[in-house]
Amino acid sequence: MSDEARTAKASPEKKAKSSADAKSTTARKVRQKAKAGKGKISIDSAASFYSDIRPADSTEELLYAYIITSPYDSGQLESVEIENLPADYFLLTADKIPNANSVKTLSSEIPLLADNHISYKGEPVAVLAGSDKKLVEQLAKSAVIIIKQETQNTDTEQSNVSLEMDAQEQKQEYAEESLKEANVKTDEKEPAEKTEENTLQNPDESDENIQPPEAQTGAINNTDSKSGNSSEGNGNPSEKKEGIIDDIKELITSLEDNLKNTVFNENIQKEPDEKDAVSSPGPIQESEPAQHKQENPIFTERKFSYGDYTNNLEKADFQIENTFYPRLHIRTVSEPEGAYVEYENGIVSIYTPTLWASHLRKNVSSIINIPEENIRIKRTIVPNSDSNSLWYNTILTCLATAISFLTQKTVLLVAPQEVTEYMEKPVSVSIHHKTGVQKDGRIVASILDVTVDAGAYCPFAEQITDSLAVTAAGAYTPDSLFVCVKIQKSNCFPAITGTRNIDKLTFFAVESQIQDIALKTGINPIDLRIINTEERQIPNYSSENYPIILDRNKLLALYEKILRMSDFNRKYASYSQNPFTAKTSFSTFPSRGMGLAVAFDGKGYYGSPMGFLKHTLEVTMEKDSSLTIKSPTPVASIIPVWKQYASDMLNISSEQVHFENDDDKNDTSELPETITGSVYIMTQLLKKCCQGIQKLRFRQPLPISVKKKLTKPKNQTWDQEKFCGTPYYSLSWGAAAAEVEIDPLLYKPKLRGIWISVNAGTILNKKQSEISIRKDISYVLRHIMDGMTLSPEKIYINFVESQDEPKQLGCIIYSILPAAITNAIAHATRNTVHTVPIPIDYIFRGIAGK
Amino acid sequence: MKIPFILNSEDIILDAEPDSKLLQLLRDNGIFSVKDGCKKGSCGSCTVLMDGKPVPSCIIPSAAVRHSNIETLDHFMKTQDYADIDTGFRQAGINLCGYCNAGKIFAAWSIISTDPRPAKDSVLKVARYFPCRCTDTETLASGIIMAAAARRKRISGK
Repeated sequence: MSDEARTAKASPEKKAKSSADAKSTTARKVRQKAKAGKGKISIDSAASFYSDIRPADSTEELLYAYIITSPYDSGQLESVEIENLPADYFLLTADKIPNANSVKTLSSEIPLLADNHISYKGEPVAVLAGSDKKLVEQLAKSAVIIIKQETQNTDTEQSNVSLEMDAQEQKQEYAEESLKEANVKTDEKEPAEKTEENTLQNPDESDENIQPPEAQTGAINNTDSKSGNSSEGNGNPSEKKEGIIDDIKELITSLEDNLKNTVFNENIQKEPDEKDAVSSPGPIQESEPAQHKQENPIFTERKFSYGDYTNNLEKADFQIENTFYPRLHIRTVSEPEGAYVEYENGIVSIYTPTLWASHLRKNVSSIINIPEENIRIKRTIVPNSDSNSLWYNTILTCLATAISFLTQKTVLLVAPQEVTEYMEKPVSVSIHHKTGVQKDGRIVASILDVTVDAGAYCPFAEQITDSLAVTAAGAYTPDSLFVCVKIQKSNCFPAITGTRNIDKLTFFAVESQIQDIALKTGINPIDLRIINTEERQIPNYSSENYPIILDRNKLLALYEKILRMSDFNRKYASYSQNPFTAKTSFSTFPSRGMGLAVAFDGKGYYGSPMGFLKHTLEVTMEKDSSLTIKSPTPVASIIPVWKQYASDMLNISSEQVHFENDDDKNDTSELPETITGSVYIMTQLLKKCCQGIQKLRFRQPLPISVKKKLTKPKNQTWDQEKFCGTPYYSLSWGAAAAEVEIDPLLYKPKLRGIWISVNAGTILNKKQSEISIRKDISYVLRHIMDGMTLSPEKIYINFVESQDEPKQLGCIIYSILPAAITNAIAHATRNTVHTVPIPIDYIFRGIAGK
Repeated sequence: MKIPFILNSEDIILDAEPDSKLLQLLRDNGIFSVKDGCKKGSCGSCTVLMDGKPVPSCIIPSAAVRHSNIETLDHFMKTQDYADIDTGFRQAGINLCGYCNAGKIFAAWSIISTDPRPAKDSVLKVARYFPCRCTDTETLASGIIMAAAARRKRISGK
């Protein structure tokens, strides 16, 4: 072959090769450029998201981990298998975990991976890890999970990791069962008319006939055409068509009835008020088919009472009873839970948005059996979301760590979407109020029953119980009270979200009950509240009947402020003349309503085993007079506030104030960051430390270090056993008023104004506090009802002037605003609202029923 | 498949799966300013500029970016236009959480680049769109209006 020919032959390959080289070089350049930014491992973890971290060395292999979850809520796990698993891919199951297969949180032990017994739907059963992210996901979704069940359900089921598919499958099951019933009814009615259509509709015949209702209708149409063809001369085709159309209608009606009758949450007993009851709103996301007994086992129960509530209730002039089902959960889009873990030479480096580093460290040490000193935890950006779980993050991180330990490779585990969906599910709560009221508005008896379905595990059951028990009666002081709070166990996914700040649900219930009392007794809601928040002399007072003590003196100023701001009394009286009913809906005057709600936000609960009083803060004034605060870096909005606070107290520039957070040290607090990062507690500690430094500053040479912790005031006592006394170290109050107008054509409420008044002591930064409140308001509006918005000019915020110590704003808006809005709707429609979010057709159903 | 396009002012050709989205393509190639949020194009955390317009990269098929001009947030943050937005947001007291930055910043850019004096109503309409909890609607709207003012000041030189 001549040189020319050889060259000509070689050149296309060479060209292709050089072209490929150029392209891969280009791609490499992109990666290198990107890694020069935030992709490197040596980044500031506090300013990074763990899911963005990649190994600095591009040759180092990174394993992507994907969690395989159980599609059933109970049963015996037999095996998890994946066909054609590549050799270098790793499937972690319970038997492969090096040491303990559980995470210990307070007194509970939660399995990392289901070993033998499945506790809940969505429980992790295995984790697959591999180098190709997409392939890992595909293989994980194709995993075959063999679960033995005691019921007649199928023994084997393919992994069903998509929540949408779950919902679709549930719909199919309901449709199948309804279809069976419909067929039974049809057969019973017309046993002689066993036509081809009915035979073909029988779902037992073959799987192909079992289809969702729409498809079933299609099947009926097909058989119609078939029967039309085969039954020529048998009868009038139009009559047959009518008969088939009647069958379709009957089928649809029976399907609708079955869907309505399906109880979305069988775990909680309902005692609905027939007139006012609103069926559980919306989609199937919270529903599980009823497979549990009525009486579920409970994690904890709290009962306390004072006074003779039974007799008082019987003798009362009015007895008002309601059951509320708040499902308010503030959802946001944020980074899913997970972790990035490196294991090298016996040292584990973990990057994760943990809120409880000490808990994570202990459990990681226990699971892979290495000393705690060898575990480095770098906290990454924590999402601003209620989905943050103190203990579930530890489970996910421990799974990633186990894989990293066993494979000796770096692992990135991001919770799959279905797990995130489960985590975001609102907690299931039922709150039953029975209230005895006299004609003058005094509440003489209040019987409260709170039931929470906490799912399969609830490490903080006691704290949740106490929080609900303290807030169940709200701001009010009935003459006699009985409170029972139960945290039930079930086969549902553990209630993670909404258990923080769960008291917003009890406030919704008690404020809605007060509104119902106002409607039925005809007493002004403000007067009703004032009468029932007076500290009263309890007959036969003794220490056994000691009630929950809250500083209610702040309330009058709050009521006064909100009344003036919103012109509540005048509007309430005026709008009472024209309620929105079916008769008045098209009157010349629009139907409007005014609603009110009041709540408190308590911090530093004395009954918690994780005592906030143990937390300390150390502050050092350096030689150059700069101030170093040794604590985790607070949220960005608080940094300038604390810097200014410290600089004002010590007369230094705010630029001289720094935060020092050394994650490598093992002396991190035992407490979670929900306590150590609490704005209120940290502000108090910072003040104490600065005062300490100020005393020593001109007597001792610099540097000076001061370490302080909070102490319980002498006049605050709390008896956890008898459940009485002053429950909180600090208390702030909030009140909200809302005005709504009902659209007479769409039966939808439209907001006209929101007024907020807050008493949170001295406000350190008014602008930032107002921004924080507006943020919460916009969030509540987004979640309370579809499409509910309000122009910012119509939101009025006021801070009651106070010389008290700065206190927390907390989640006060979530406790007061939903009830204020639903109370306004209740006032306009004379129909108490029992649930939030408010279903879109709520008002129509309420009015149409009358 | 090979996709040639302009990424952050540079001509490149990237490998992509036929069914992949732009978000995945960018993250697989080390660009992490786009976040994997809702996967439905509603949260804004994956926003990029495609031929100068903000788009949610999680729903843009990779093939659709062929010969397009894509700009990501990390590159945009080096520009003067970003500096105007940063100034406005700081003046309004906005502290973004980091996850939704792309959506809010590019939304601000799309307003101030087309309207030097945006009306508050039209800004509020855009600001209401974002589901992230880190910033409320009014503050975000104020930040965008202040960003427009900063941009006017810079351009006019006063």
